[in-house]
Amino acid sequence: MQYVAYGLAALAIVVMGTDVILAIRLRRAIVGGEVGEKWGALTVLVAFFFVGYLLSPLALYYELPARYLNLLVFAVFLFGAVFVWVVIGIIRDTLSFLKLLK
Amino acid sequence: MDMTPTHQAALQQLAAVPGVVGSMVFDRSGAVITSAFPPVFDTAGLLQLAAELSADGYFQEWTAGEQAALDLRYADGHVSIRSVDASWLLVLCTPQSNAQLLAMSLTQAVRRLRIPVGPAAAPRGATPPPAASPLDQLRAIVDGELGEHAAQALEILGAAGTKRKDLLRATSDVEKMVRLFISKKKAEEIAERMREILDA
Repeated sequence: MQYVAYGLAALAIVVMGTDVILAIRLRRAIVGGEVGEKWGALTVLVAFFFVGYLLSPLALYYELPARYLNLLVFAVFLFGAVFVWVVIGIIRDTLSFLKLLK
Repeated sequence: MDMTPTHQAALQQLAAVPGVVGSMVFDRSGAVITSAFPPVFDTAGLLQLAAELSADGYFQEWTAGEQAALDLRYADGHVSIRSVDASWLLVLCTPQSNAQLLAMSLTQAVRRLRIPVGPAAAPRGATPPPAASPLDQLRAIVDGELGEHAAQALEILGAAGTKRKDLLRATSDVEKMVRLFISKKKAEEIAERMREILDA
């Protein structure tokens, strides 16, 4: 079971690492504006998640106490919610510009 | 090349672009026509830079022609040079400057710097050109302000009708596009100029 957890963590690190590269590339391609600002915030969040993902196998290896693990999980929930909020904002801005909203 | 308030405003506007440290215009004789650098920059150093660049054969060769551009990237800064008629515009930026926003601002600044000065610009007895339609004026503003990013905005204007209400709606769309994807400040500037034309 432990090895499955490590395997999942490794996979998550690889995927999130790719996400960081894609997010940074897109940030450089965006000229600016409100969407640019929101994408900047999103890139920071992706980088933050990536750091968290990198540390997650260590939490497993050092058997982080449950109270700290809970704190970590709920922090991820919070930042995940903020992430979704920013994504919704970008999609809403884009759709409203394209006049595709009812 | 004589400098007018419009030319000075072009450099001042360039200075407002995030990451731009300063800019100057110098001619082929190496004379600095105008500069907008913070006081911390030594004037003698700027004069020496202009003199050395203008006297350099490679520099003259690389920056010959109306559309000539030279970008030099260093670890702690970025220098952009654009040809402006018989002179050059040099801009010093931090590495954090947004390359696309800078390119757009440079295009706009060069266009402003190319505006001829005063009555000497128009030959005597020349027939004034016919007045441009509001749509043409709006297109000129969009093209001048957005440079290489003008295509989408020009498409919006092209799809709009010629009536005032259509152009007002297109102006709002252009403003929204620029605010969302380019720059909030530029969106305000463009919208203000476009509405001035439609209100005239």
